[in-house]
Amino acid sequence: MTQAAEIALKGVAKRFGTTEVLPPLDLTFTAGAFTVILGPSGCGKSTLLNLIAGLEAVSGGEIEIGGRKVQDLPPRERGCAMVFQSYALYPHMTAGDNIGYPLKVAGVPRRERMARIAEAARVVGLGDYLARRPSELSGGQRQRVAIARAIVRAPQVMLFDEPLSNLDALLRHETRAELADLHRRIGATTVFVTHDQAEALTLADQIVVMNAGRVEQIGTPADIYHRPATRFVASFIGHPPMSLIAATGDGTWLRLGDGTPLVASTHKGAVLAGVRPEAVVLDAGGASLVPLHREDLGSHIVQVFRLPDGQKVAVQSPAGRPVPTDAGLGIAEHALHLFDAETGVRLGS
Amino acid sequence: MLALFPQRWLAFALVLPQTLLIALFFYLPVYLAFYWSFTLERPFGGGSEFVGLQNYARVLADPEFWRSLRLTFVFMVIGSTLAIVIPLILALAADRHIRLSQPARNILVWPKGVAGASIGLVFVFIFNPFLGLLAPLNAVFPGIWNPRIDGADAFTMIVVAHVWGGIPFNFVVLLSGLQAVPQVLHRAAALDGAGPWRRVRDVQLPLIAPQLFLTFALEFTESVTGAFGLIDSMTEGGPGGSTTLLVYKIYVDGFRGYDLSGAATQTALLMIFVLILTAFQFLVLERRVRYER
Repeated sequence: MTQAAEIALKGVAKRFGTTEVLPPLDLTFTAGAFTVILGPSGCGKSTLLNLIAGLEAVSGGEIEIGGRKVQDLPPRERGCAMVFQSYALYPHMTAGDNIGYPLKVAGVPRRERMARIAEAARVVGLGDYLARRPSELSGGQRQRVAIARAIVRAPQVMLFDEPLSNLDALLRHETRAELADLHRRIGATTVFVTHDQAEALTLADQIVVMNAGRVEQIGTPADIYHRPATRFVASFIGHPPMSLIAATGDGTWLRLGDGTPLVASTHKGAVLAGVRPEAVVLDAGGASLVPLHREDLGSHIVQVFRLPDGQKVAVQSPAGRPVPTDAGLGIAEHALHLFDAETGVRLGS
Repeated sequence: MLALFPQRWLAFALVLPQTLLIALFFYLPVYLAFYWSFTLERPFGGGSEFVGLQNYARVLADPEFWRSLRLTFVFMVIGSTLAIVIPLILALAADRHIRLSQPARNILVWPKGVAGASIGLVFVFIFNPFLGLLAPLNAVFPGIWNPRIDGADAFTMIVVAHVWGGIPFNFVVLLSGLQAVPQVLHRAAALDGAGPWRRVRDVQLPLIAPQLFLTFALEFTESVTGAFGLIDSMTEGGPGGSTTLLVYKIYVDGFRGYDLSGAATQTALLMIFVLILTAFQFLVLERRVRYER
């Protein structure tokens, strides 16, 4: 068990030349927590990780790790360990030497080093591969070596940069479970960057959703899923994602562009109405639906329909029970998410 | 091979010009050098006489030959080492994207376009004891630098000129090797606690071992033969034979002294010397080089 440290970002910003990749940002990563930074490619999530690790210099603001200001320290003095997407193993060293390299640099005597290498290899379930070179290992084994190299120094902070995206689907699923287990045992403050919402929802204590350099929402997986704070989060999380329907409220109804009433609501003015595909209820009297296409996924069926004004809505139904073609759209009021049509910010509770 | 060249003659035809050139300008001279080393050649033509190993006995008993070989060896070791270490430092700096590394990368390649004799001519001026760069030193300590009189100075001058001429090629090869080292390995090593120098030692140098081997192998053979232009234009082997490397001695003996057999014998010995060195490099050093990444 290592000592976990809180990471606090205060007004941290990053510019490349005149391009602002990260506007000033305040963010706290609770000590010992597993935080996932989730966002599409190019949203600045990896840059944020590199700033914490010290691989890139901040353009402004402060980074504190365990109460210590580290923004001007080189990476080795920050106490972070990192697992890279490509694993970044040293090709000329054996797996064992790779794992032991941080200890060797730190001047740990050989005997102690060997013991700690063996222990780290045991923790990640890396069997008798310590004498092999990375080129002789499979993707999954390389991944384990990379993780063992990160934990061997008992770091206060573990950083993961999309570590699962080079694995095949089955292995990714297994490794996900192992990472969660590893975090429970190691206890280091963990920051995990990914674009995969399934990883975020299953692993995280806290999710930070980012888009275009800005933080869209910070919350638990349940928060993020059930109460998305912005239209971006709503459309990014969920598989298939939430349908967002442009509508106008007249005080009693939200109406589509052609005047068809969509759902009862006291809201007035233009609004985006969001509904998760699994929360759609069918109502013979509701807005009529024209089927567009359907995907049968075995456990459930996803169908996409056209609304009377041309917008689309996705409906998920249990396996073997496709939505009848003459059904109308119903939305339970509690399942309705409203977002400001202009700013995309969530309205109401 | 067969799929690419359905007609067998085409493959041979394509290889023929190069084979002819190599045969004419390499294998034939090598054969003749060895042949002449067993005969007594008349300087102005008119037949030769087989003398067995007499030429070898004569050359190997000559202290001038051994001195020349020793100078060649010293020149090879010092010259090659400097001609790799200096470009290596420059390449490491250029790879780090330090200030002005972009224009430097360009400028550093220019000396490649200069012939050995021209380099020599320029350095003769640079190292002129009265007009050159070191002239102020002579003003303070009279006579401390004079390559026309002092053998060590002359030897140093040749080494400097040789190293200068060797920088571009080795720089380009080593830099390309360094740039092929994935950036993420630097990042990983930085997080593992290694500072810049430690990363050079533990990550960069092991990963450019193939390029280092290549430059060493080429530089060693090049330094044995390539010094001719420099010596001929700068010192003509002097003062007192202190810069008479074997390759220059062969020229002097053969074309000034008209001892064709002696020159051929020394050529044969020089080739054997290079052969042994190259064999050593490939059999001993190359086994430690890993090409996989």
